[in-house]
Amino acid sequence: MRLLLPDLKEIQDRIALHNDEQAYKELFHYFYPSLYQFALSMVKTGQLAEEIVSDVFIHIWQKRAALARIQNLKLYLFISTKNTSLNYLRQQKRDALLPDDYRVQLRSVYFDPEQLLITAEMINRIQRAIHQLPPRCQLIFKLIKEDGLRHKEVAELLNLSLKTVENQMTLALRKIGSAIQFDIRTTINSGR
Amino acid sequence: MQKDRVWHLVSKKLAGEASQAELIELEELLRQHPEMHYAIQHIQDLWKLHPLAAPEAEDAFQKHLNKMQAKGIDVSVFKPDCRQGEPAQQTGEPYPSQMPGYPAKRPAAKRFIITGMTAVKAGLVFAAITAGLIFWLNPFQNKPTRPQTVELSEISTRNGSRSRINLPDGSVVWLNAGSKLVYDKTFGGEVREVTLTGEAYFDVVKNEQKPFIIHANNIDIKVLGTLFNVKSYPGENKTEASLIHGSIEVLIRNRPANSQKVILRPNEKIIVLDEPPAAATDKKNRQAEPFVAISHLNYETRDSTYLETSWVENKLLFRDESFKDVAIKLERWYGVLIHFENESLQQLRFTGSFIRNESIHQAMAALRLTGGFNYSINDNIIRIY
Repeated sequence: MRLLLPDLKEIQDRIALHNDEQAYKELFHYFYPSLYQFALSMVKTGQLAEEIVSDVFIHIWQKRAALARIQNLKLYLFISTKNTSLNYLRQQKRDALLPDDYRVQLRSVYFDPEQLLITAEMINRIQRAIHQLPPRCQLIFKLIKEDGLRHKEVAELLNLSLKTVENQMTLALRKIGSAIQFDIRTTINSGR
Repeated sequence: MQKDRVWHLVSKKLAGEASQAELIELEELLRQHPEMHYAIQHIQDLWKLHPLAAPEAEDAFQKHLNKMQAKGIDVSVFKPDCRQGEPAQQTGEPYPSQMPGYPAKRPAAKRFIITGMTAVKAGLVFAAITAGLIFWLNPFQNKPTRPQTVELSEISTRNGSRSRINLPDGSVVWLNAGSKLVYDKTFGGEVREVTLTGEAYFDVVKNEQKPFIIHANNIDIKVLGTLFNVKSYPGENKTEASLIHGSIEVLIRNRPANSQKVILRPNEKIIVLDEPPAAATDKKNRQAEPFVAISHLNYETRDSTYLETSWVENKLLFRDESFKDVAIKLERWYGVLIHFENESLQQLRFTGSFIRNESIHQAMAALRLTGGFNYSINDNIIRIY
């Protein structure tokens, strides 16, 4: 279920102009996992993350008349999630600046024995490499790889320069690349 | 540095943001750096892995509607609330857990964990559970009564073969050699329940409404959705559960009505002995509880895999284990019978790994190179002397 850009525009219009509840539900379903995980990376509690995404979507519904005017709905949703998260953090008297210790989880790095694209061993190495990246780098990697944001959208979302985002991605790929690097090894090891 | 330039361009290409000029530049750079092809190919494959659909989005949407309603927003346009917990989408594809395979940074340990412990060494290092562990007494509620007519599904594997099972709810179970998985037709009704003898690797679809429960000898494991391994062979006197990621609740059944629950975190495993080591048994107290130990999983850097689940990846690993134990593993893995004519040879220790397509002949030859023993193979029977 990959929502392409033209589809998103259509969904937007259906909600804004026709109060189409099916479209609203589709929008929720499509973005919920990504937004939930994004909120979770900041607030670190599942319950709270769920509340936050719910708030974002309540707002969308209440202001749906104006929805058609939003140019980049995807980015809008992410920014909205960020701001709502920061509000909650502020209320809880936690640091209201963007934290640096994001708790990032990825849904798209897994061993799928059906597809045989990548072996389980390779996936392990990749996951390990990703896990060893600095948290902010992991977040950037996820937003681009999994959530499909563009580099400059990530920059805007996280208040970073485009250069920084690009450097972080380069770093991530380089680290993953070296984790994957083929090494010749004997298949039979015994008693060392 | 040129290689960084390559990664930069790859990153743009993968995101669909590379210009024509950049794509051409990338091609040229790759020509100059063929050693990078392997890694980049895999990363491209990685990019093809799309995120799995999240079944809980529907639950979240229902909660969301409730919240809107509570706020006085008119939700009558939305479909009437169907509380019957919609089943996870049946796409026929496996649903691995959504969390990465490596544990996230854990908060400061609230429990006493025996670190650095490797595979169980008989009779040695089990510590009784102390107050430091998170334990609470809570009789296991969810034992459904068995219906009168029970249709059982039973899948078993012989030594030398393994099997992959797709359960009706989309969960996947890899069954190791010499094992058996049983479940009845009520599976997926209120609970998802199976009984395991032997060893299996579980990939459980998340469904908070319907807990996934595994009975294995003297433990019950309750799962919401996660990746883990359970080992409970009848010939061995212990049961092991290893958690890769997610979270599982292990219930240890004692003879008294009280049971103890332990929650495992990723990268932990629990070993439950059938009986406590002889020294610790109070002869008067017949109701001594099973001994339990929690430790970390053994990650084998050389093979980039966890010792506990290496079999799922077609690898047989053993780490400083006696020939006796290795022989048991070989018997299961290859479906052979091993007989020690010289019993003292059982004490030889081995560390090593075999991959699936090595034959038993190759395996025995390799062991012999280091082991200092002789062997003969006749049909499927191996003599060690």
